[in-house]
Amino acid sequence: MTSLTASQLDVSSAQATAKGGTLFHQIWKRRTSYFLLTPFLVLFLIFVVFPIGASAYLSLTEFKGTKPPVYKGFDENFGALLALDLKELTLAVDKTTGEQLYRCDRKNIPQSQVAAAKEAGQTCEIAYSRPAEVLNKGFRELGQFNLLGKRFTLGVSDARFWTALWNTLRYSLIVVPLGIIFGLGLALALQRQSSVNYVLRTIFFLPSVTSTIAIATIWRYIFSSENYGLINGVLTQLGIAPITFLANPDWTMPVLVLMALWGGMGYNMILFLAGLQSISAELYEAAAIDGASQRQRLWQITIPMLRPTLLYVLVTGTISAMQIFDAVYVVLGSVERIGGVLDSGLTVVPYLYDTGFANFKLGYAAAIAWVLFMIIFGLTVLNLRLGRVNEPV
Amino acid sequence: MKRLFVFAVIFTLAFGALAAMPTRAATTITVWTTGSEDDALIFKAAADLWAAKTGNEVKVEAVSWNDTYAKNLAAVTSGQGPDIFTGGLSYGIDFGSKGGLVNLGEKFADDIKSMREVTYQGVWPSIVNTAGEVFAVPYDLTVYLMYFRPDLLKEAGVEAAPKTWEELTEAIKMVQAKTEGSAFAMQWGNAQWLYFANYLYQAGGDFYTPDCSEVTINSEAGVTALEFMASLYQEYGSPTDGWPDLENGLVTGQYPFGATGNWLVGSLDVGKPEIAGKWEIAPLPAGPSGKSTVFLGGRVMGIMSFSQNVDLAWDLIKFLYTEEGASAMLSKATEKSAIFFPPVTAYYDLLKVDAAKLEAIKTQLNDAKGPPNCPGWEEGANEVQRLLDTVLLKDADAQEALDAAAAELERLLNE
Repeated sequence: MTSLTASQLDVSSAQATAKGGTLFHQIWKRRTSYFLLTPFLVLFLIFVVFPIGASAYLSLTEFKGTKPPVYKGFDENFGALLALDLKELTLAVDKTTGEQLYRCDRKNIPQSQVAAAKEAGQTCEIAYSRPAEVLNKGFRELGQFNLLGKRFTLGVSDARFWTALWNTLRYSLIVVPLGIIFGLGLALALQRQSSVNYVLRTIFFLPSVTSTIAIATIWRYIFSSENYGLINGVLTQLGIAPITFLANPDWTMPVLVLMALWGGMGYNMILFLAGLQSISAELYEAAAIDGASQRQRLWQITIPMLRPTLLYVLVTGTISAMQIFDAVYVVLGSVERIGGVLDSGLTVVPYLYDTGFANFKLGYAAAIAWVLFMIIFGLTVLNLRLGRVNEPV
Repeated sequence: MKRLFVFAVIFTLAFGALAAMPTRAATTITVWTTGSEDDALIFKAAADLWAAKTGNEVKVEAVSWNDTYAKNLAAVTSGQGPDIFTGGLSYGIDFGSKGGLVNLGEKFADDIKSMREVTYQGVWPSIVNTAGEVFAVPYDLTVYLMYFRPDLLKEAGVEAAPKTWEELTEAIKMVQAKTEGSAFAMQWGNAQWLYFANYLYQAGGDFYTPDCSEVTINSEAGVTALEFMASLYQEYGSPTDGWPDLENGLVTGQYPFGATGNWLVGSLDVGKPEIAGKWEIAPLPAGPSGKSTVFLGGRVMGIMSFSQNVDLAWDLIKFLYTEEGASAMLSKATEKSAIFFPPVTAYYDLLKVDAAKLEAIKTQLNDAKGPPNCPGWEEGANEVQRLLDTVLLKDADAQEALDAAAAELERLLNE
């Protein structure tokens, strides 16, 4: 055990004073700069730092708006959001006879009756115990899977959150790569400087400067299954039965993806065009002299030289896709609840909105925001690592 | 000059004193009405009369159904917003339990007692909580009605509006044999728990026991109701979209019959003049219980607990219950081709609707039931909806879905 002597304390104190003096001196020296920065810093503290700190605190509380937040710790919200319960499902048997049960067309029947059921055209499979019987109280099944010859059920305490997270990841995994491909394709097609290309670039960029709410409202009409729905109007004229795009869970994600690609590829195109302009023409000339084909020039020059732009589009596109809200809210919210039928289009931010501003579970909503932030942060770090943008080409 | 200066000073002081004399300033009551701009104007028609009589002012703002819950709840939580709000039937219990509304049953006990006597009785079980507290009073009523084109049904061989579930499916089959498309559209609350409530009640079931001690959604009646509802989509091709265009369908023949709220009675002739006089209304078909019970909707009104003008706001609410107030609202509704169905039974006859249609509305109103008033229902309705969807859209087992719904409602009930 060591202890500081009085002289040591004096020295430390003197050093601290000297350092403090130096710091103050430095601030004083740059007082004009700090003074000019003050308006920004004040606004930054009030509108960025404070809300972030407040939301971090709220995420650890139970806060329903009408009463002051009550501190509950990490487990209350984050535990409820992220808790998993993995259980093995046992084979279902008839309680009276002990006979193995089979599930034939939504009904459990004993093994002895399976042959007859199959003859009647029913599809039968071995029946397992019901997930609700094995999962912990308050957990709902997210899905089942087989592993090492056994059947497992995965339960979660907030199934809507996991559904939203899965939908968000699925949506991002489709939209981001396709957005890059289409954006780059458009940029390559329209990179030559001509008046036709200027007009086409403007047209493709228009959705990016149009209100997303207005665009989503138009899409809603386009996909409506009624006669006034544009697509179904055409289908009906052609004698094809209308498709319930917005009321069918299988169509929800394709609709969202289509809207995102249509609205986002023009923006990506502009970024890629800027990137293409910065590639030296000499590289292409040298490659042409060396006999490189168009494809080789694309893969050996264009794509590597566009790496910083690609990485930028990838990172910002991922962040934007993970935060999708407007389209879900406007297009699907009008059909049923906010995520569309069976939550098939529910993503994390609309779920956050629903939790926070429709159900007023503000502490829980803050926890959702922090989980989303950590996921986006992780993905961004991963993208930057994989892209290694600072390395020379 | 000196005299002129003295005169000016006296003049100024005299005017200053006059201006400083205490006068009764008009109080402004702010109201947020849920619904369209027309709905706000209907409220305003009566509010303006009250304002003229009392020397106060009323500011009425419309809040759309999509935003009303969040906006009113934000007002409740922030302590800033209107004095009076109108909103869904369950809002009174919901906001009241959060401490956001004046306990009207306690503060104005005698008035509430009088109101209960003159209003439609069926609405009260949905707006009084299990402790007997009243935080909001009925503003207007909405019931499901069947709208149909007798001429189109006759062409398909259907002689009258179906009165039972069996007649309904038979009629759909007959129409489909002629048109090969969807025949029957459920507009309001389509593929939702709202519409499921109709079938549940008609099958003799309910969401909870009357005292809210038990969840009964997964009863035999519940399963019958859900299986029948699913069959309408899966076998009989009713559209699953959120809001089928019943109005246009009645014109084109796409939907010779369908069901939605009573508001269409006021607007259909104006919106679709080509079928004026060609359509009729009837109560919904009866289920296995023999009853045609439908879900009762509508709006309630209450006073925010942060209001500085509780007594004045209550005076305005009471005025809406007078014949003068109701007449003003009904006249404005007629002018706007809307229907405003007052909660006071004595005013039904003031409605400017032809006798046969009014009779049909009254008949259906006598067999209507509102949403549950049990704890946890508001929160559980989302999960109930998801589970209903698994049956209606994914062909899941009705009993299993309702068992899961019951488990969730029980959990919330006991929370």
